[in-house]
Amino acid sequence: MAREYEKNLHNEIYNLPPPEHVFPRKSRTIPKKTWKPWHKPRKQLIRSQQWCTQIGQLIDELDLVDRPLRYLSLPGEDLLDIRVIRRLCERKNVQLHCLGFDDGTYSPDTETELNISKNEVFQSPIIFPWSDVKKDDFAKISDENSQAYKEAKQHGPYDVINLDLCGSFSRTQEPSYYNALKKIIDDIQIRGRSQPWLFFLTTRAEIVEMNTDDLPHYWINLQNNVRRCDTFKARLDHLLDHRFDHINRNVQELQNLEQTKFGIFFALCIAKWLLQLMLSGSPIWKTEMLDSYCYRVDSATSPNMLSLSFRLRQVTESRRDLTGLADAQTTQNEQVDESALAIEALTKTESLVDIDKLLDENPALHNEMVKESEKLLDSARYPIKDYPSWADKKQKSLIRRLRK
Amino acid sequence: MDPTQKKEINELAKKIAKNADAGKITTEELSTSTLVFKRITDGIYRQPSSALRELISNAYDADATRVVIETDAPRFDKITIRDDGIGLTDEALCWMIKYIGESPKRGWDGVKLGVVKKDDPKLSPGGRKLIGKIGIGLFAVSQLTKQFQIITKTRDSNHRTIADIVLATHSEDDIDKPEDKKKKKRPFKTGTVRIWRVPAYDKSAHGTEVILRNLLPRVRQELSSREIWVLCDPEQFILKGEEGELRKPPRYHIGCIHKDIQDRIQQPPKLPWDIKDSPKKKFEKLVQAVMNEYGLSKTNPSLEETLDNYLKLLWTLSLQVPVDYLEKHPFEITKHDDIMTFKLGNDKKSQAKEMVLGSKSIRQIMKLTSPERGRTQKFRVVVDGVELLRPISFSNMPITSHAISYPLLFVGKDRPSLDNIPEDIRGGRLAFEGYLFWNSKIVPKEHIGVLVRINDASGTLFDETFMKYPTSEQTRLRQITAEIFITEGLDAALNIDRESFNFAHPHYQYVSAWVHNSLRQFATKHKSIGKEVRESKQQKEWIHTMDAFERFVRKRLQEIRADSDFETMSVDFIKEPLDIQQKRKAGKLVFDYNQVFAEYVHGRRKTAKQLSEQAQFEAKVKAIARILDAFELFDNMTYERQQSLLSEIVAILSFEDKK
Repeated sequence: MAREYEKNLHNEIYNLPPPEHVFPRKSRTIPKKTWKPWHKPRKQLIRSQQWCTQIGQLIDELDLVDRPLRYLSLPGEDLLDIRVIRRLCERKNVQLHCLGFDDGTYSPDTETELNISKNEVFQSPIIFPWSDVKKDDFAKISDENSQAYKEAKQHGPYDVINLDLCGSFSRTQEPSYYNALKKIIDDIQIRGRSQPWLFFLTTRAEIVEMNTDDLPHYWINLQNNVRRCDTFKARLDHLLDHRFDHINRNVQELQNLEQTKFGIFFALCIAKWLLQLMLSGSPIWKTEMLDSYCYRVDSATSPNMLSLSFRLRQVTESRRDLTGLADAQTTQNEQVDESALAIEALTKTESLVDIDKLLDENPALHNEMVKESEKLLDSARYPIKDYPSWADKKQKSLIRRLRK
Repeated sequence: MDPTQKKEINELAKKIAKNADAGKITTEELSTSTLVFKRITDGIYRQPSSALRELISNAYDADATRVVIETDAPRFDKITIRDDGIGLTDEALCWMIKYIGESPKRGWDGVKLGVVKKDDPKLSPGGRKLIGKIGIGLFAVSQLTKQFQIITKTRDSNHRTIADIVLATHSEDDIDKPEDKKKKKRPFKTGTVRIWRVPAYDKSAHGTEVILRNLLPRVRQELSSREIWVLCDPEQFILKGEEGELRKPPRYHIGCIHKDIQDRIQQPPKLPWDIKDSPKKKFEKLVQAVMNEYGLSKTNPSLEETLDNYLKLLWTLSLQVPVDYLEKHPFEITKHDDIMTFKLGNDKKSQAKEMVLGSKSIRQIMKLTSPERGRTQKFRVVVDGVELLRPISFSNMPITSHAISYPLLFVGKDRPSLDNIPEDIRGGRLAFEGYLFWNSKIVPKEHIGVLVRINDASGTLFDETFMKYPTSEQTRLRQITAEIFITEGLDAALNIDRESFNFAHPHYQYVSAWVHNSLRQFATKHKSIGKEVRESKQQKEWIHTMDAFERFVRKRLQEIRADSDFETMSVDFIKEPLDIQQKRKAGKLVFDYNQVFAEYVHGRRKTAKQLSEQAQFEAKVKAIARILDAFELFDNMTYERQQSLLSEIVAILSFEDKK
């Protein structure tokens, strides 16, 4: 017992790995950075045409003169998204207050990379001084006793939440993204805020990547619309090859669904989840799905990644004078029809833009994105000399898959 | 002992012997062992705030206008300090690494390295008076962690320089044994550094960022107030079965992290500010919360009982670093602040003189200059979204029942002429400005004492002994908070930790003598004001009492003589016989004072209290005389007999049992 106690006492003091250099460790030269999937030109298209375009419109709408744009994201060690949005904010002459989460599963080398990137980006006067990237898992925001929740609350509410995931939004790992997002919405986004905000979600959209326990929940949520609206039912039946009724009982049904259709179905599930969530409280918030994209990762021939975007807007209701004393004409309240919104969401998901195809069919756009990527990656100190050939190689490989 | 040391010692020993044989004295310069510096490098500080203070000082000296500190509280995994100063050139960075503790500031080496002004090495490039020493920051950092990074960039450079530093822990085991003498002596390793550059496209950007990684467990425990939470909730922190009295958490705290799960908050924070408040507002609310403790929890609120270690760290830093005052600098006080102000003299027999401020501030009247921040006046320090401001304010001070109900401010400045003192012992030039602020209650109690700032920064806190002021007047001293702003000199009197002074240094001795002389002037003035206030108060009370007594007597007289034509006659006691006669002829009721009050015993010297008692006694005798007159008892009496009657009454009323 005494020995055990002594051991604990010892651990209290020496409970640290021996100090060591974090970068460069093995080699005395700076390691060459390697290209990652999110360096491809198509991701730049998303950054530029989805994120920046929609954030730019939001900035104009919010008329941010006395406060910064508040941005929550998962920026990665190169802070690529923040670098792009910083440029947008510079053009718009708006300060950018960002909070990033990085779950810290990366190596010590990347920690140093993050430190350098933060120094590069946060030194800009356009960046709000108390911006930061925290070494925390975003999903832990779901626990209000977590450090992640404390940080998120302190920096919010946000004009933009950008959940740029590599995996699926529907994951088996706890805590779930649903809980984290709901917690942010409940405690940070809608509490005392009435201005619209944007939600970007990049997620894997494959049945094998998702948590199949989520399916019954999605099914019930869609079932309500299927019951109420024949149009919705007909279009969903068409999308799912008349499998909707069987999905709830048998996941296999979805596995047999064509991947492109599954991607649309999954996008619809997420859009509908967000739609019902935002309509569930008071005041209600309208969820509008904006232009969204899909593309392929790994060796997939059909789109298996989604880049979704949503605009959330509070619906204001005028007061009703039950006594009739105020005889001024009552302002007509905005009609919020969940069925109609669901149809809109379905329409948007059906028209997801396949950006791999788009860039294949538009070489000029592809070249423009290569150049933009090059510029962005150069600012993050990538050896861009090799970039065009790498991007070209990846594009050719993708084209081969598309032709299949 | 290495071969060089051995050679030096042998040569000196031979020289001593040779000189002794020749009957000569050996003269030699003293030198310090490098081992001392090695030990110092390992850490000389007691508080985590010291490291942050030194890094903030370095940012200030680098002409930064803003320092942003992120501590990752309450987890304290790492701390980042980012400034927008001029950044370190590669040469300056190399100096810092190779000559830890030997700051190039304040010397011509600093000019070459670009860390000081070209024509004055005592100033920063932007003209600020220097407050830090580059290498000292490293000492301080070693107390918090053994591994940290510096990322720095100078304006217009096309690269950033990154230094990754790992410090070694000093061990006495490293001492070579005598039998190892053949073995090559192991050099003491302070640590290792890896330096590299990355390209920078933001040419105009400049500044330095220090990232303290993997804070030592002890530091994390201290910053997160683990010792407090252990006593508040031992079940959570120590072995079950331990017993002890539970203590209450401080009123305000940042909460605490779960003992096993680093990212889980066990105890939610209780902060004095709202999460959405601006950085400045948060600090204002912190100060207000501490001030509000007076009357809420204790008559002598302390930071110790009100704040946890982290919030105390914010407070300590805000007192030490050169930031603006919460409201305004004490020298900006004007007549509108309702503070009685006095000018202190510098001679041993000087007396404090009241200053009439008129429309001017104290600074304008006394031509005071502190703080001097060169071109870049603005200097903001924000820790975790809370802007540090000096938590000293002279408005809305706590009120007590003390006779003097308003605060007093004593201000002085000195630039002693040390020309007559030999250069090698006077320690250079000395100049300073300062104030002593008196209020019947100083909140928090940690602000009682004198705080010495060198060029507007301080490593020390309030010295409650007032630099060892020899006095028994403890009550009065505990009502004073004072600051001394050194504008020239004293820096050499700071010990290497920059948190204490070398008492033997002549500058320290002079400043302490000045403070003591000022306290003497304060005490004299304070006593005299106190006396005036008390007398004035007693006078007012007496007038009030007499008015009430007069109304009472008139009412009694009217009841005695209900007939409408009766006029209540006033009574006078007069000392001059001729006056008595004249007034009696004019129909007045007057008596010889000396005869009537012959039996009323009192000394020649009277206190204000005795004077008041005497006046009240005389008023009562007058009232008795008026009552007797109302009953017409005087009508058939001679003046002499009237006076005898009153004299007997006085004798009876003033009887005291001397036993």
